[in-house]
Amino acid sequence: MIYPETKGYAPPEAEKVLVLSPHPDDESLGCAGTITLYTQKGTEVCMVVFSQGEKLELGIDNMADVRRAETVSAARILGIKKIFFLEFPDEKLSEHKDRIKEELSKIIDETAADLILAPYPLDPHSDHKTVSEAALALMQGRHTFRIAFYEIYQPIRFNKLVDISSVIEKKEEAILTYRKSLLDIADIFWQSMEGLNRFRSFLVKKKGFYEAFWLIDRPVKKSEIVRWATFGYAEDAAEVFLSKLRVADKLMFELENAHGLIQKKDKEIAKLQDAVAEIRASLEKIEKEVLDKERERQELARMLALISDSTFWKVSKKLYRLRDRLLPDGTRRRASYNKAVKILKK
Amino acid sequence: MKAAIITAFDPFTHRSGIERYTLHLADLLRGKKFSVDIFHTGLIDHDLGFYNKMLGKLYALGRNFREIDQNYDFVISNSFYGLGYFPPRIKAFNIYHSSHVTFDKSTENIIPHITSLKWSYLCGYLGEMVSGFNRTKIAVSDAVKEQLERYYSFEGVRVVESGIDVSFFKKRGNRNILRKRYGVPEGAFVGLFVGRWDKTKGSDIVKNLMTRAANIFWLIVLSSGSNECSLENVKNAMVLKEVPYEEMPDIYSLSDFMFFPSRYEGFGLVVIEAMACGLPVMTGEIGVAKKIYGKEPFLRLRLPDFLITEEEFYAKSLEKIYFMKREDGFRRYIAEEGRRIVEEEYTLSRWRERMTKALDLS
Repeated sequence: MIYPETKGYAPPEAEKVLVLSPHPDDESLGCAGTITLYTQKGTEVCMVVFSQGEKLELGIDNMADVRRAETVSAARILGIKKIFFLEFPDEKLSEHKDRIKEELSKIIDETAADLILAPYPLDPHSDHKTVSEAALALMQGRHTFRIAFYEIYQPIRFNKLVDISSVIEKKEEAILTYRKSLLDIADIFWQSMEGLNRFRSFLVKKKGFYEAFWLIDRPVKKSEIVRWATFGYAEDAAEVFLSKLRVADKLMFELENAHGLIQKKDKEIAKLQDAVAEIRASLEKIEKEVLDKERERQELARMLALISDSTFWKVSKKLYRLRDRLLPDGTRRRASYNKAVKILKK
Repeated sequence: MKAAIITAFDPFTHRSGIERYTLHLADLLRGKKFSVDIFHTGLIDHDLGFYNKMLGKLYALGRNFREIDQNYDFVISNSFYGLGYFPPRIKAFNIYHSSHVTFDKSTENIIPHITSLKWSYLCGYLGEMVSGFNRTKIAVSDAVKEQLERYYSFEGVRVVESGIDVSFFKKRGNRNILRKRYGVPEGAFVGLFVGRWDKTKGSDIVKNLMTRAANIFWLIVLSSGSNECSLENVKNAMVLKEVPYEEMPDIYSLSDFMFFPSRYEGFGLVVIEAMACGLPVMTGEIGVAKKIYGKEPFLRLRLPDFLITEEEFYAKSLEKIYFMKREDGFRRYIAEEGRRIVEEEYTLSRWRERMTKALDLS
């Protein structure tokens, strides 16, 4: 089963437990109560501390040593059998993912843990996330352990609650031990965690303190984590793809339509261009004809002007005028003249 | 043990390359004691309201498979046909027979712009790229592998070059008898073209070459789904439509050379089929030919680059054809070499070996 249902409020069954603490104090804030319940009933609990938290700025030169000492003290309170200090650089765990996996793998083999307590994979702290991912990655291909993710920076969606009411004082003691790690205000951190653990009774409807875990017994993919954390609200990848595909399909359809329309319009334009070309050709023809006629007219006018300017025309005009004076129309002289001209023309 | 194959069309009713490939794949898996189910769009009666009905059916095909994927040990999809099975939840393989983005780029200015967009974006960047997600990618040639890496940034693509049945594809019978059967002039020097009659396959090139090579007889064998091939006024050509697959070795055997100016092929199975039948093939740098035609004696038959001027292209192509026509010895040599290469590298058994390994079944 991917997500075992919460049954009862005892810690998940385990023979050997390995707690993954990215920095000194995380284990106490997240799951000190559950650790105590295990150790009280004789279950072996070991712990890996990945970084010494040396980056904490509190004006102390040897912060790493101080935090290491606090870890040892807290572990003693909780009954942790062995601590593995890996000393990876604080706040830079993500730069050492491969080595972290390598080291963790060895420790899991060495401790033969069948349950790992690790920070929640969606914890906002990058170091916490790196540790969580390392545990998940090592789960691939192995069927030797389960992982219970604990909460630190924010409440998580859980499938396992552990009633820590009987050991809440131990948790308080462990957290308060981290005086410097918790910025000299460990009491405020304690109260926060106490509040969180008390809030978890909301679902139990019974006074008490509970630590919440997301317990998995097989590797989960990122998409499953997101789906789990968002109560299935996160979009399904298949749905996302389908919606994108639909968009592309519609876009292509619209493009096809637009392309078809453009082609249709292109054809219409080509047809119109043909018609325009035809009209232009006939206009040119008419224009040419008009020009030819005009040229002809101009030629005739020129010739007429030449004729009317010629001496012959002028003499002829004078002769005709003389004729009309000497032989007026309608006279017998004129009739005889016309007759003579006719005979001469023959 | 159960395996599923997702493909576009029913391989028992459609007989094109991918369907034959699918049947070979199913045989291979059955030989490895797998029970095999083939899923195709013929089994889908809805298109999810897609405008592109085929795309909708393909998506639904994969989506339906998602409901039953847990019954199978793994699934193999052809091309982008299994895109609806996303993201895959069981072991999944995707066989790439081509890359549509490259296909598009190779046929620029040949296909309409809208087809170009479809090939590149719908089939390519969306279909093929998504089909590679979380699946083992298998390419049918080094050329396709290189294209998948270049355009989709795929990594770890495995190459399984296709193969053919060399006992089926081999030189057959008496050439003159075969020519008589198909009505091909006995004494002619016969140039063969096989495929769909469209520009992506270089139909325009073949047509133009015909008019420049009147003393060559052209035999055009159209594959299924081809456009009409109208060759009015071309006296030196003959068109055969939908020649049964079983008769293809006869067609290869009666010809003198194959002219295959296809602008894009993922693998180019016909090239191998013709070579197996001892037919010299003139082709460009496409699919498997890119590998074979990089060295002599095949280099001599490689078509010039399309980038040179059109006239130069035809002049050089004709030069090669006439060289082949003239040199009987070269023709015989290249026929033997072609057959040898196919027998060594491109048999079905070689393909089975490679595919078995690629599917992690060895």
